[in-house]
Amino acid sequence: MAKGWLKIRPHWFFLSPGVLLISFFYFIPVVLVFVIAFTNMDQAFNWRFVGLANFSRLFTLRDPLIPRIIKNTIVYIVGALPLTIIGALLISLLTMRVNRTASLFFRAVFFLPRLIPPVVWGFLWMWSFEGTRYGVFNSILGSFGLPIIHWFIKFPMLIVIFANGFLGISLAMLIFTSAIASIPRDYLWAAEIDGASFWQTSRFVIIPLLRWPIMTMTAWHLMSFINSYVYIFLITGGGPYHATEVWALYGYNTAFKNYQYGYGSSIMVVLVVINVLLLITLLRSFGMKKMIERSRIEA
Amino acid sequence: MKVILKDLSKHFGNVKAVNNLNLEINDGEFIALLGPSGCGKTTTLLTVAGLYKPTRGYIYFNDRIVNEVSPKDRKIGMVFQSYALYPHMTVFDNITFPLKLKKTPREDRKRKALDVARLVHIEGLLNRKPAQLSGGQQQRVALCRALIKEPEILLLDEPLSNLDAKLRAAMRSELKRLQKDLSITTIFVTHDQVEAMTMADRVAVMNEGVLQQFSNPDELYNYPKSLFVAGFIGSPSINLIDVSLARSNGKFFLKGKGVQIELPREISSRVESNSLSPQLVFGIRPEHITVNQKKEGIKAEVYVVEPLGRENLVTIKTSDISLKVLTSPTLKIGPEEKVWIDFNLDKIMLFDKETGRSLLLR
Repeated sequence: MAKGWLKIRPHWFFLSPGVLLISFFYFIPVVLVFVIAFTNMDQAFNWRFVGLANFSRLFTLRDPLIPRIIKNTIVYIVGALPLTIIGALLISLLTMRVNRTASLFFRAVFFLPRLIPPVVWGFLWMWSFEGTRYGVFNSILGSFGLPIIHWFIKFPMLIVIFANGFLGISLAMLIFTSAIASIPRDYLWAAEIDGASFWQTSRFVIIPLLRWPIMTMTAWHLMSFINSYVYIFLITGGGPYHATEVWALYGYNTAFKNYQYGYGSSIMVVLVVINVLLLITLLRSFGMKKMIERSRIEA
Repeated sequence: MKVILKDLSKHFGNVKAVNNLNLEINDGEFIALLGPSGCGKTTTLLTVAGLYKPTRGYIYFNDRIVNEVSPKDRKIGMVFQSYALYPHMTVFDNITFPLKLKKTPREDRKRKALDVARLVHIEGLLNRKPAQLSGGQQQRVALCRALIKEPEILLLDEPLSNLDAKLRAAMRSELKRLQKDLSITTIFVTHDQVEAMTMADRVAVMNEGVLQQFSNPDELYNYPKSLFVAGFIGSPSINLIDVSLARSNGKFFLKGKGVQIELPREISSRVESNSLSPQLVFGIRPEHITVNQKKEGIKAEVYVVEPLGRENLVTIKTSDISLKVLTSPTLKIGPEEKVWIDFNLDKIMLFDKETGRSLLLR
């Protein structure tokens, strides 16, 4: 019997370890989150079903922090996403102009954030903008006799945006430079003969040809920034006083810092729903289905 | 615009893509750069365009050295082999791209686009994207984009090589006519000798970065200066036989495997004064050999007959040598038949085997 079953469906046998692991660590937790979101589970794991109480707390703004969290999330994405895409495009285009060695050097420098362990990256930013006179930037200011700046109090969101933006740049830059390298030389030559300056060539020829890579990277980083909290958690922890607390981090802090597992789960459920809606919208509006079909560097 | 290339060289590392090239192209002239792939013809074109900087030598437009002038200021229009039409722009936007960069008003752009589009009959396609066009139409669009700037020099890099045979023949005559009407100095790069011979006023044959000969098609065909040109030009190609020069009783003979040809006096005296070594190459085009069954000339055997319609291409063997001969279809011969061949001695060519130089030209 077992032998026959194996004979018919050997793929199930080979897939089973992976399926089990993924179910255990991804699928079951997601289901659990959805269940816990309808409970009032606390730090002692006491719980009972409370129906939609958690969600009504969220949506009726009985939680006074919610407007602030939403605003933070929007500011964060609106800052980090253009920084990533425009910054990566700029670096990719500029590395075209310098010689090979210089181009390799700059691309390596901007790729470094990807190679550094997240914790190190987070702490580097934390130490650099440390508000005492021992912080990297403050000690530089101090050596010029200038007063120290409380960076995290004055510009907390900006620091978080840049820390994440540079990470985004590293990946997007890699994608864009390789896409630019695959543009046939004739296009650039034709533009040069027709009298296009470097910026005109970039604007009218290169960037339109990079349409698909740019769209992929925009979608990718939009999703990534909505769900990201690791670097914010490491650098500011959401502070000072919720100034950098975005939706995903608020869910984490609610569940694991304030031990309101039930309420924290409901926040995460909202995030999952937003993700699903966003994914569908992106698939529709970007024609992502067409995009995934085959490699698209239109040239 | 007159174009002069003086001692022009372009090296890539150790590779001498173009080596000491000298060319003088007259105003309004249509010239072809012809040669096998890798001969430096495209490199030459890109250097004239300014996309490559010459390693040595000078490029003159009229009396002005343009080595340091950027491509956009050279008043050139160029058509690339790939056409390089921007896939995201419509035909109209592609054609008017050079004008848009110069901030020409939209009304002017529209008028000029229609003017050039009418020249090559694509005025109905202005709203299409390049992907919606056939190869021939794309080629016309690329030509329009080059012409809309009213260039003083037109550079064409194998513009016909991506078209099918019939369309290519049609475009050949159309392009030639257009060039004559507009009388723009034109440099045309091709590896196809038929294209070069049929279209250009003069053809520059290149090989391994070196100019072999620069003359009009007739001279190129009938009076090639070197073995390379003789072998490269002409289809079916010329017959080349290794021979040595021998002298007896005051007469000169060419002696090869199984052939012996007596040279007329005026030819032999010129050969004697020009040749450095006794090893020669004897060349004769297929149409300058006559075949008869009247036992006149050298005895040979028919190997294969290829009918071309207007004439037959016959391969003939005599001892170890095989010769291509063009014959009239009225001459009925078949394989293994015995025939006799005769050379038209006015049309023979002789080359020094070592240098490859023609011995009959001075």
